[in-house]
Amino acid sequence: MVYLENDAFLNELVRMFSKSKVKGNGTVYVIMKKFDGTKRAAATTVTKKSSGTGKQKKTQKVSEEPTPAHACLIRAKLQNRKIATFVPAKEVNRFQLAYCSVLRGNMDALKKTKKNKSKSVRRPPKYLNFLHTLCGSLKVMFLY
Amino acid sequence: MYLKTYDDWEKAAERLYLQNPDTARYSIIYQHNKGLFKVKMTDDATCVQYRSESMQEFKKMEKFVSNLLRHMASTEH
Repeated sequence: MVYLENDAFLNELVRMFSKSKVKGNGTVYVIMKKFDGTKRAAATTVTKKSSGTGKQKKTQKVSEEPTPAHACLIRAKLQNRKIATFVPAKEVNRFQLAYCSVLRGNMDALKKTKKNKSKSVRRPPKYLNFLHTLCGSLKVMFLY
Repeated sequence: MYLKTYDDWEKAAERLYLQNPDTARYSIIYQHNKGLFKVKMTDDATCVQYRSESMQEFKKMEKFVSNLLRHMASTEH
């Protein structure tokens, strides 16, 4: 697991999304959880152990700086690549905007059909209603 | 457990998070080739999931995510 700064994390997330599109079989996992400072020590020791065994050589960027007591931990995974970041309360507003735009911009394979369907369903009745009223008024005209 | 509508999922997920804010985690899974996303909220005892292909529901989900982010990062419970 590589711990990154917020902006670096978002850049890496964008790269992950584009990679998943190129290979065609990629699934991107993004996990969010509440984080209180108590479990931080355990998390770092785990990463150090895994780097010691040599399974993960990408632990260069492990941030040793103290994290705030309350934060939101966000992890992302694509195949073997795992990244994580902490979002403290101060950064929430800024991060949230950037994060949502990253998600929206990259999940572009989703369908937008619902709108079109509802429109095409709605149109005929209006048209028919109009015809009905027209016929009705014509009949009334003829009767008189 | 997959829920049938998005609104059901959102209610269930919110309840689950508020019951157990420390252990609950939330995940988005995006598969580009299938053009679908899944959302999941679990506290290791119960798990609620929802699967969708529509962009509209994703936009709804976005609001939920930003609320959740705010909650998770805030200092008070």
